[in-house]
Amino acid sequence: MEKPLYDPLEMKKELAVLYKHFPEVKRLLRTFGCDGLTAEDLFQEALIIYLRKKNDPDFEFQLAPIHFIKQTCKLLWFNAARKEQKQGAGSLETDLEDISDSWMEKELQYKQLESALTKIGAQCKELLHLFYGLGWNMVDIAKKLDFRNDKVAKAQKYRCIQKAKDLVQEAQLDFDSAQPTFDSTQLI
Amino acid sequence: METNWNQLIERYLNNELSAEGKTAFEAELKQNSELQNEFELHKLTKELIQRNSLRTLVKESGKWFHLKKVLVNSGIILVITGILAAAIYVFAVRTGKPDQAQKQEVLKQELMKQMETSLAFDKIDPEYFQFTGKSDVFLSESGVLLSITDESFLLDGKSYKGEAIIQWQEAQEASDIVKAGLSTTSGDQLLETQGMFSLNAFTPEGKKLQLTDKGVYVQVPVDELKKDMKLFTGVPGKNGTIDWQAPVELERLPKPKGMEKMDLFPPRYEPKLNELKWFKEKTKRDSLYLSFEEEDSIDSTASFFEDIQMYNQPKMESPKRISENPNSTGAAQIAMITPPKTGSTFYQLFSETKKAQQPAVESAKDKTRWNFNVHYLGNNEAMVIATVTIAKNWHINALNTPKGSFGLATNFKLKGTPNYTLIGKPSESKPILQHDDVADEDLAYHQGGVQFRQKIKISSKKEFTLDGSYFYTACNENGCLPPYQGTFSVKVNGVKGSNQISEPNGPTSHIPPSKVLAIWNKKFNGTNLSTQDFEDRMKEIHETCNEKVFDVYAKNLNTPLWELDQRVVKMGYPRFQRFADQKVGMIQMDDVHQQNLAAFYEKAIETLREKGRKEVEMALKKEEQWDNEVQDERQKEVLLKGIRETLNAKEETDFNLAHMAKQLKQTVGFAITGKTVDSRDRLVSGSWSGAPAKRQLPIVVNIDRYARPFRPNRNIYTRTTIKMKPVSYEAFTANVEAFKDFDRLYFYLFPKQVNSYQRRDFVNGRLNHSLNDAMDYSGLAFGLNEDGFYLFEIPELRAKDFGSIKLQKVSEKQFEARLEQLNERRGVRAVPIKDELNWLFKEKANYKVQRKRRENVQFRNTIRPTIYSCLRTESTPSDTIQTLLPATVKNLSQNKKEVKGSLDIVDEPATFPGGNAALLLFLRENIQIPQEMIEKNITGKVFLGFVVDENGKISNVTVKKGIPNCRECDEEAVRVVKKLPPFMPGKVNGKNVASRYSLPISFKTN
Repeated sequence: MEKPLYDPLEMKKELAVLYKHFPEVKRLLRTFGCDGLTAEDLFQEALIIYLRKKNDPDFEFQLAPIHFIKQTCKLLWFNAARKEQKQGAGSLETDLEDISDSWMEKELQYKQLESALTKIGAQCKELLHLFYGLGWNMVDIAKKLDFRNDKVAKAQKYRCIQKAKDLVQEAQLDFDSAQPTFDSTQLI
Repeated sequence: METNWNQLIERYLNNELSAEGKTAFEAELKQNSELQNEFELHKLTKELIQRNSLRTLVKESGKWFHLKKVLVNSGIILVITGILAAAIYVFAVRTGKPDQAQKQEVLKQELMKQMETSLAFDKIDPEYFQFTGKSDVFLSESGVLLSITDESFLLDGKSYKGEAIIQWQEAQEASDIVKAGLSTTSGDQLLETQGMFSLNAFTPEGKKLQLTDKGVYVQVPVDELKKDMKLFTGVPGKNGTIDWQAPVELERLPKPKGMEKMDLFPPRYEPKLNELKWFKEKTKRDSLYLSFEEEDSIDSTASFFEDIQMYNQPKMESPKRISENPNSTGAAQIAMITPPKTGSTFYQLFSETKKAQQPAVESAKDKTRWNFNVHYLGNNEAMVIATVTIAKNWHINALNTPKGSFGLATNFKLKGTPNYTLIGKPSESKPILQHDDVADEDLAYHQGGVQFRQKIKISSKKEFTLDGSYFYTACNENGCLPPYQGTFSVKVNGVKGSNQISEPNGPTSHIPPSKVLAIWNKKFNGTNLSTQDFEDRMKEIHETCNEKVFDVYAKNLNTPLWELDQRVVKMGYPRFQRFADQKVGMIQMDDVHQQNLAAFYEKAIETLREKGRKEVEMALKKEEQWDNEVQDERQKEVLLKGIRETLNAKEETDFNLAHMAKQLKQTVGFAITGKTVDSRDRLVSGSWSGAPAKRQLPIVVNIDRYARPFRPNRNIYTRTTIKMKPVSYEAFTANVEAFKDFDRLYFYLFPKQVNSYQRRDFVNGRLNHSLNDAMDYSGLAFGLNEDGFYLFEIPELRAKDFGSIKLQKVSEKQFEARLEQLNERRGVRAVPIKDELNWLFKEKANYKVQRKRRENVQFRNTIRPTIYSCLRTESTPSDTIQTLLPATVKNLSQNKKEVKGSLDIVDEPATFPGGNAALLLFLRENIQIPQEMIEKNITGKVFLGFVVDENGKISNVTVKKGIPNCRECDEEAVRVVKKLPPFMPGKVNGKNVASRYSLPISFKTN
């Protein structure tokens, strides 16, 4: 039985608290020239990163959560802005370097790959979310998703994860092939 | 493979593998790069999935966050609007309300005032209904139902379809009427009232509306339905009183009911069928009902008659026209001069005498039933119909017999009176035309039943009695019965009022099913006929048995039912008064539709009649075909029997001859000791002058002449000559147990020395037959009845008394097999047993058919009274002459066993001791052919009748039909018959009784 690394309930509560800071963050991002919708995307991304960091035993926060999130948002925004070759990004280069490290790169890569999972079916997504994300047991999942029994659900889960893997592998290949060009442009 | 890995990886990651498993996996992981990749990918995917889950969570909380925000905002807005609304409300209450409400109130009051002015009854509070403009139904306080449609109102002469206010006043109770001071006078007369009401309608603006032609449907509940209740229109008088005028008949709308739910059958028809558990399908019941279309009262007696016949007669009919044996010489011979040529002649006499034993002195009257009735054809014409039912196996001659026919033609005459005139000659159904080979005459006769018709034109205006006479004789194969002359009278309706002549006015026996079924059709949905009210009437209509009553309803679809009811009451059916009192109206329909239906009605009757007729015809045809088949088989059997007998006789004679010749070694010219013959032969006497003297001469015969008589006589017959062993016949007897259970009892004899077999009849369960000592036999007793075949086998048959034998039941196959096997040894089979079997099987099958027919007749007899509900009461007066009513027939059949005096009906006919063979022998030995006959070379038959009394003595010998120009012949026949030794008397219920016996004696000279 897969045990989630976090307690979903706790997390929800925390998220609710953190989300209250969204208007704040939005305002902050607006000052960088970011529009509302992107701001929310970035905020959410930051929240994800925060949660992942929080569950990473190797990581220790030096900042209060909300500050870490703000920081992350900033980084993400600059990253996005640089990708879109936005003007004025260079002025903030120094700030970026402060926080930028390997995991940030990794998270961005993850984000890229994660988008591949959107192609997976709604049912699979739900199933995988319940199993891996929320750590439900198969019996409950079978009930919730109207499978005949947990065996069926389990078989379906394997099918889903295989599909997910295929999608990820595909995305990975794309990503890897895209990487050099990305690098080269970066070099130029 | 991959799923396996998936599983493995998963378990590894979850730490579910055992220690060894873990190490093994890790080892594999290091070695297998593919697994490694997979492992990495899996980890990555898992991480991504988890990341995605987080995203879901985050998004969810985002949604929540926004929703909350929206909720809070809208909450605020709500509060604000609430306050605003309150403020506005308060404002409105303070300022607007009194103003507006007052205005409305004023408006309403004005409207009310305006409407109140048109109130009919001052002191009764009106009710108001809001009519939306669509068809609607309202119920007033006292329960009056108002049905208003969008076509109910007119505004200034134009149809008004909008909203309306209905003002309704009612005074249903006596107290209301008194309170309101309402008067109930019509002119000077005082009326009894069951309530008053008034209806006004206004547009919402208060304009008064008028009623259209369609108006408003008002249904008023009353405590008691009083006769002659009418609807009066109130006209206000000067001093506030109301004068009620212009009474209108009240009508109730018929209650529609779909045709498929209606029951128009005669009231007792379906319950009877249900009781008999007959088919439930309506189509089958319709078709059965329709099959009673053509029948009328006569047939019911006929089937009665047939029923009795079934009990009276032996269950099997004797084969028809046995005498038509082509092998025979045509008539039985008693001839001393010419010896019988073959056995078939013997058989011939045998069969004839047997037939003649049937009760013979009867009147033609007993064999037929005559019924008379009148059918009205319209145009003052009518058909007088005599329906004759003829007993089985009998026929009566046609009205018009062919030229050269000796038979007495049947006569059917009406006595002339000024009341009517005859139109044309009497007609008859098509007779059976046949050529009788024996009599060499053409015959035209009727079998089973026949109708004679005479068309008349009625001139009398009153009902009158029509007299007539009829004359006929009944015949069967053996001859005719004394003719019978009868008279009859029937009542004929006089000419009615000019418009009604064409229709029968008197009650018929029933409502023609075709008419009922014609309207019982979906096409008549939505007419007066597809209503509950008509269904109620239909039951009563069936009781009247007058199709004209039915027509009144079926042909007047656009007349209110109550008017029709009254019309029927006038036709002489007071029972319809109660329907008339119900004052049921009609269901409206347009003229075109109605004309279509009228046309359909007429056509449907025709089609249905045709259909019914065809069905009946088909059934009759089928029956006839079957009968013909059976008859064919029987005729064939008779033929075969003749051939077989002939063959058998010849074979046996030849056998005897050979047998004797072997011993005598001499074939010609030896005399039989002690036997002499009277001879007038001149050659023999040797005298050439004078009258030939009678001389006794020894008979000099050839061996064949000597041997021949042995066989037919089959007596214990041991005459010896010096050198010869006797050709002897010894008796073999057997009794069959419970012989009455069988309809046919035969004994098959299979002699081993000859090729043909023999079939003998058991007489009263007893077989008495002589066996040739020189032959070996095997035997088979055979019985047939409705249930099947019965056998008793005697493989080695010897001449002795077998006592009683008990037949065992066998299946058809077994029977066939046994008979085949026994017949196998017969080398050349001249008469294949197969034909015999075919006949027997056919007979057996016929039982089933006959039983079915009987059942069907009985079934129809039980159903008939339910359809012909008026049969009993109506048939008696119209059939004033009925030679024999069913009841009488019944009595007769019951009495027959008790009446000792009856000579004609016996259970067992009288028989000559020793059977017909002995009788034949006696006659042959005693009859002297009269000289006259020889001189004139006359041949012919003398039919004699005599009575055999309880003791077997013969008396009352009469010549029924002699040979013309030969009184001597008749006298000689009578003389010999009077000399006959006592008979075994006939029996009824086991008791000896006197019975008639008739005997044809044939004289023939060569």
